[in-house]
Amino acid sequence: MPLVEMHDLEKVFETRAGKTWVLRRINLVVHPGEFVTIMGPSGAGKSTLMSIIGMLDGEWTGEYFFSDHPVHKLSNRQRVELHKQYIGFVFQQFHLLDNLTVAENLDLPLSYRNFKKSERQAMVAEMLDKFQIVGKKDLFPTQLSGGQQQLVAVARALIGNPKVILADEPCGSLHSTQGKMIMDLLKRLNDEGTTIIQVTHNEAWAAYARRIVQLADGWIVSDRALAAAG
Amino acid sequence: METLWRDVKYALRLLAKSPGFAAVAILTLALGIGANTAIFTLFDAVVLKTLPVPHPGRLVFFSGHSGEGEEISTPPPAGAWIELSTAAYRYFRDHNRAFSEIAAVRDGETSVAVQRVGEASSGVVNRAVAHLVSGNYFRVMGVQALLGSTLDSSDNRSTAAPAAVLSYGYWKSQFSGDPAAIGKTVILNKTPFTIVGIMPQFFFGERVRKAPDFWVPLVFQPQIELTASRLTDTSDYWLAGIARLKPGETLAHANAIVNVQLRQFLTAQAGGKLSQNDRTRIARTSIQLVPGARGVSFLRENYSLPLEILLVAVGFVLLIACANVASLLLARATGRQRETAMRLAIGASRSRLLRQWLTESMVIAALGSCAGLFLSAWGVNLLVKLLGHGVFVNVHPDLRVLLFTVGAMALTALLFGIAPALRTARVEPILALREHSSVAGGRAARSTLSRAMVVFQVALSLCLLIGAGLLVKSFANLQDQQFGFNPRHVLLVGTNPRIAGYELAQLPSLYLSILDRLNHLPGVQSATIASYAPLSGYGSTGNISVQGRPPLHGEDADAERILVGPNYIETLGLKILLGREIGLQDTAASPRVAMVNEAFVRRFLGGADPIGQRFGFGGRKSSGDLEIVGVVNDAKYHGDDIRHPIQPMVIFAIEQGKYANAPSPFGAQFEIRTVAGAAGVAAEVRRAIEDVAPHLPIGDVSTLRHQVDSNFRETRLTAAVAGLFSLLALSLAAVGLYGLLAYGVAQRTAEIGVRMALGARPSDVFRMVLGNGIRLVVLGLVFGILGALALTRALSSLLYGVGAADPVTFLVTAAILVAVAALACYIPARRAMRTEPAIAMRCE
Repeated sequence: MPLVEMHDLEKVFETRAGKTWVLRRINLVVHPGEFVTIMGPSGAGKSTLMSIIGMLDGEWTGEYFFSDHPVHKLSNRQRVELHKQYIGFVFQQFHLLDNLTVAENLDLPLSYRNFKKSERQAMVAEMLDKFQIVGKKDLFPTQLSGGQQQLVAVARALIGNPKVILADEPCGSLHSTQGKMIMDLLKRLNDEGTTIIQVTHNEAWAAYARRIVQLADGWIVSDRALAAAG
Repeated sequence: METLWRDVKYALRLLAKSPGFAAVAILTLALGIGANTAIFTLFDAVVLKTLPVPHPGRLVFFSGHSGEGEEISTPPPAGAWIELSTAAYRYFRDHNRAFSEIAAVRDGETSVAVQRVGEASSGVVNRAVAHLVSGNYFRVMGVQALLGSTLDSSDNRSTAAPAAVLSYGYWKSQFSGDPAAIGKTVILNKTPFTIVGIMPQFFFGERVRKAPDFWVPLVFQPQIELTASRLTDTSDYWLAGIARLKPGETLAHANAIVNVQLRQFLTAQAGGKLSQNDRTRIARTSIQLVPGARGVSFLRENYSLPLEILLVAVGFVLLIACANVASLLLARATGRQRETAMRLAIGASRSRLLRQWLTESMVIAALGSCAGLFLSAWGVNLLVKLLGHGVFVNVHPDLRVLLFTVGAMALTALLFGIAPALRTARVEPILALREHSSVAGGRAARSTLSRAMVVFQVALSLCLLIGAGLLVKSFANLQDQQFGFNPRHVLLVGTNPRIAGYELAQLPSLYLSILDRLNHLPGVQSATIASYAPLSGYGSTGNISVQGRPPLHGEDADAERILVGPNYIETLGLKILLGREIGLQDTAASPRVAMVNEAFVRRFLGGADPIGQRFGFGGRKSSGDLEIVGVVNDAKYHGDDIRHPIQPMVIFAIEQGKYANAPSPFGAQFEIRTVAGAAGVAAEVRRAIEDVAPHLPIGDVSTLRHQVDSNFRETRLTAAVAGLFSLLALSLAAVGLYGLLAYGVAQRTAEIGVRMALGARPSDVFRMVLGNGIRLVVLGLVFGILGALALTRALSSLLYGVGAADPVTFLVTAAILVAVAALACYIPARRAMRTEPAIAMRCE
């Protein structure tokens, strides 16, 4: 059963000047355990596609099944619930809350999922341990390097045990060493079974995936498997 | 609960990270909430607080009249009674159906001479204040003695042993709180009274003010007041009735019963044969029971409206403060859009975020309220000082004040927090995925809302400024008005020879000796004596009959009466228009004469020559008692005269007072006109009086100017506080305007850089920014003027010599506001003008 299945999905902005197509007849299937890179020039529709996959955007037409759930038929509230349950996001700008400590940042998504405090504490401790950042749990994001911040952001995306991690330019704000550390981490997570869909402009980071989907002017212009992961 | 606590912690952390924002927001709210709490505390103390007695809601008074020391000595007055005679009180008491009990009190307090017996201080005469009450007074009030016992019904008997109950304050100050005071004897005006009880500290009586020193049974009225007995005189109306409703009884039903009884009483008094006039008079006579829960309060009567107006004014200040903080939060919300988007992206629901932002607002409001409470404590003290020296008002905050503050806090948080919270919650989570973007239209929408708030602030500020301006102008008009007398350089010295044991016959020589001495003091221009001074709050009226002129049907034949000594006209700065002044020649042995004012001539004498006309007080048989020898100009002797036509007035020689049914010549005031500042000769005047009469008690020493001004205290208070609030509102509005423009300039730095790179001159940029601000101010002015036109009508009763829509006040206050607003616009406009294009474009 595919994790993501899209049929003729389209996104359009209507302006006084007429319709502006952002995504055109998108047909995309992503299976559990895949590592997919979405590439394309600026304005190709990469981020829009990611936001639709992540159910942050509900204004589109076509069919979209997520883990057999017909997203196109769901209400906004149901989409939010589905998103909360199955999706983890990693952003280019990390988007950690500067006024929360590392541990509190990890705790945040759990608090929105109504876990009990004791459960949350255990899950945060486990994640800190897994990412070897126990010593940094009481630090604030501004006290960490960019790579460490993205590490925490990945940990935050994973803590709710999502089925898929959507990473939007996860290394876009990092220098190469830190970028490699993050990509290695994502690869390891993928090897452990987490589905990963990333957007990137960088060929080297794209090569970590097993499949590359190329977008241009809203169309999928190519969808190819890579022979070997980076 | 855990979520709430986490949100609170996060809000505190955010505030700690932005101390500048926190300080401005908290201080702004502290000023708004503090000012509101201060005014409400005073409003609560003056208007809302009930008497500290059990079940105060069941207390009723037989009249809503708050005057005191008044006596009406005429046939039973028609209309709503303000006082009862002894006979009327006894009738109601003996025929009582609606009340648990009915008590009566003298409608005022009496100054008495006090001597202790059997102690070291024996023989020393002090002054104290006694209140005459019926024996069941304390039972009706529902209070028991702290020590000993209260008076009881047996004290109503004429044969009862003289007993007195002490107030807590007097017991503490004069008996050092010694429980052995019970059973001791004190001599009040030469009559020994046994102290039977001490009242608790909280009890001050039915009048909301400092408790009297003694409560004494009514039957000792002659001994306490040192006048003829009022206990048997059926035409002497001098008592206030107080009753406690039976459980389940309503005020309306009790009122109906009392009025039926009143007509029965009047019918019985008139005897069997009722003339048509009697029937008409009885039909027109009534008693209007009023709720007694909040006691009799002069302050409540005079300050309810001013305080209500100030509550509205201070509410405006709070709204302006809320608009300011909302603007700050909106700016902050714009900066937190990405955080919101991220929270939504990782699973937060919008309602959860809305709750979080509102919790943050609540934290700011709570901190503002705490700071506001401290400010309000200071503000309340200031307000009490503005009320005037010696005013008794219990401003200790109670549960109601606390609830008000908490309510103000919650409302405030909602008012300033809801718009930024809603704006934030509308952020789209997709924003988190975009690197350099903001919510479409978010900034523009924020800007529109912020601009609307500035317009709102300017409008409210102008309303307050105009209101305050009108009140300040009224106060100035009140002070500068023509009173008919000259209040400058007149010293007033109160005295009461009766307390020192003087007899009536001794008064003329006593007064003349003292006046002779005072007239020879350096710096004294002239001195006189009068039964009371103008605008002192005292007065005495009587029903007159003019010889040869039968009273007209339904005519109000009341005239004010005052006893005066020689040099009265010169000392007060009055004018003799016809005839002569009352002088030394007008003694007890000479023909009885009077001066009257112009209003008297107009009402009672028509076009006739007043000199030589005769009239009298107390019915037609006495219409030839007094001959008019002079006419003086109209002068304002009462607070009512300031806004209403002056009433007829009769001025007698103090030596002839007893023949004219006039008020007692014992309680009198020396009035001394000085060449320069009156207060400067006070010590010498006091010494001079002590030289002539060493035992004569000297009471209040004041100036006529001060006494006159005390009549305008409520206008002064309202003007001063409204002025303060309007300045506060203006400052907050200016800060809001400045903040909006400064933020706008900061946001548009790059745009300004581009404009300048394309050829805009600094003056163009200056005009652009200034124009943005001034446009908002002009819009605010329009709304403000419209609002003020609607709202200032509520001030009408407090205004004097100025209309509620006075164009000068409107123009001047609008000009002040524009000047301040222009300054607030100038600073950001100047900053924008100095933008360096190259640096500005790098910001982008």
